[in-house]
Amino acid sequence: MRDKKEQKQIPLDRLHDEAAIPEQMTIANLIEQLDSAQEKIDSLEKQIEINSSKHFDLMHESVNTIVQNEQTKLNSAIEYLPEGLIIIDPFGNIEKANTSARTLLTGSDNAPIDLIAKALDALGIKNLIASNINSRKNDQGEFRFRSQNNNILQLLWHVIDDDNDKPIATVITLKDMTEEIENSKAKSDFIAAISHELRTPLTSIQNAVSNILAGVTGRINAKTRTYLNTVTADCRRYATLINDLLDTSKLETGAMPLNRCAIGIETIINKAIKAFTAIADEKSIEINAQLDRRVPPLLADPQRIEQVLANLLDNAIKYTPKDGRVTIADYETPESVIITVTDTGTGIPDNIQSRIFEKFYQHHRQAGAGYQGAGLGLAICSDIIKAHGGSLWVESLQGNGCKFSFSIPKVTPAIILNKHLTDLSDSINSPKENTSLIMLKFQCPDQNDSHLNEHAKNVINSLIEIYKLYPENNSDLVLQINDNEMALIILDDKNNNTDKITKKIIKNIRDIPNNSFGHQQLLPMIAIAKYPEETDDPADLIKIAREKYRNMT
Amino acid sequence: MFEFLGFSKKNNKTKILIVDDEPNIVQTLQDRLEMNEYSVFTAANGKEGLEQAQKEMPDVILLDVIMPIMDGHEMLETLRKTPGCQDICVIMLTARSQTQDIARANACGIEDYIVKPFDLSELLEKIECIVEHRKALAR
Repeated sequence: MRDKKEQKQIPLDRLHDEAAIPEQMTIANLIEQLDSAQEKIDSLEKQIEINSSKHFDLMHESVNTIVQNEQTKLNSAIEYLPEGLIIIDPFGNIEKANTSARTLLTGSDNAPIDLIAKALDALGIKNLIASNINSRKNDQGEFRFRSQNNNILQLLWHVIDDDNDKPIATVITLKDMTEEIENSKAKSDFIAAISHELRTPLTSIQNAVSNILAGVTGRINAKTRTYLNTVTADCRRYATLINDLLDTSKLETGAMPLNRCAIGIETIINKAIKAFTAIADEKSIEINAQLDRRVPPLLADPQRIEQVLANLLDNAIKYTPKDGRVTIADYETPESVIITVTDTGTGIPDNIQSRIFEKFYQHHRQAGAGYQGAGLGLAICSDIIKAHGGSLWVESLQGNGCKFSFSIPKVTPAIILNKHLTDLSDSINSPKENTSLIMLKFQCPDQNDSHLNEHAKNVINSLIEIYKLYPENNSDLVLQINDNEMALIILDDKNNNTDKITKKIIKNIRDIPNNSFGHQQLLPMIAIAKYPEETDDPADLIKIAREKYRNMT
Repeated sequence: MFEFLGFSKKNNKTKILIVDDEPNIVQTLQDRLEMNEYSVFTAANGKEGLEQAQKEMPDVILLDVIMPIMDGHEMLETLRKTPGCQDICVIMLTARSQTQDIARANACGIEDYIVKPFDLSELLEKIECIVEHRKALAR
């Protein structure tokens, strides 16, 4: 009974204090006890508060030190970056510009911020970025321009958003590309020179042998014919080797621009198979094609893809014993189109699978007699596929041959168009090479591809911004945009040497169809002409410009 | 009638102009073409090539690119502006396989761009095809 009572009335904080348990409990007693307990709690809380606030201050201090240290490190890292770096706040003010950025933009490493701002304004970069920013999250972009001291600078910009997708800053990085561009030009010139020197003598040897075989010098006996046939075959091998070596160095130096156009992979595969049927028949090897008709057209260089396929087929036939089978198949993944070449040869051991794509590596599988090569074929294939943004790999089929696969990513015409319009802008944004008049006309292969026009429009806007940089030449500017046709006209400067400049630009733009825009169907029509003085009406301007362009070419 | 056609053909040999600075290549080309009943003219550079082209009005020009005095590109560009020479069939025969070179020649309207070394028999077939095609068009 007592136990029960006690249990009920013991204040919680004194539960284990035997002496504290009173004989008799009143309400007044209870309240008194409660009050004193409360006091104790309060004082404890106060103590805790004081302590924690002290801790907090300490913590705050050390965090501050850490942050400051990190800030200092980061600042000096930014300061000494070889690339220029500029941070712009959402109101367009420059928050930070490092030494490289100052030097690249103004030529002086201690130029004040407002001079940097002026330089950026003069280049129209803020507007350029503003006109390029879409509503996309973390938007970014890149373009090139010529600096005050005539260097070619590459500018990358990136908008940084906060958690609510509100832009908090734009980061700009600048890189001097002058040397890189000059180096690659020197390399490609060297390749051109070497290729000429290697191919010319080979041509006269081959021609002479061909003439003797054709009877130009009179009748020849069977033995001579056999010898000369060997010479011809070896000349071909030598020519292939030269081409392979040149391709390798071209791919290495980036001197092999891709001639991308929309291609049906089926056509290329069938063409390659046809070219190898005779060789395959000799070994009674069957070539099968398992083609998926749903595979979409690719934007790729048909000649180069054919080269890759020919190389893979050639290897497959070489390494497949008599009465074997070679199968070409294609299929589609969400991102890419994959093409596979499978043979029933001896396969490639796992440990050397990665090495076969190295230059000059030769694996002596049981190749047919007389097989010779420099070991460049697969390396070139791999480089070509990489240049297309895809990859080339091999799988062994456990003693049942091997399977080479390559992927070509699906690329929209818009992406390619955008890239090459940016390249085009490079050729006209130099202060010394002002354009006479440029007219761009985009004809979409697919009228629904409004995306393409959207891209073109963006780039045109940036071209206009670039043009604005040189206001002394800004005598006129006309932009015409229709549903599926677009034309940009940048009008001439007041100098009299417009003809010369125009010629130069025509040359620049002429180079584009073959090395960048690709096939005519996808090709925006570009015309350049002098400013037609006869009219101010945009429609007439285009007509006259077209006419003048025709006359000029 | 039949004989007359044969006679007329003999007097109207297809004219081919070779413009190349490599004497060995010119010689081998010329020998082979002449054996195939073509009438052959030669020039060692673009300037001579232009003069020959205007004088002889060849049916086909086989044109090299790298040559002294005037290169193949310049000759081709000038040729296309020369009255009467706009439509002459030009086949580029060059050791230059750079894309820029191909693009530049293509822009002037060429029949083919052949990179050296090439197969002479294939070149002959090509020329024959072009000549036949042009004759058919003329008719």
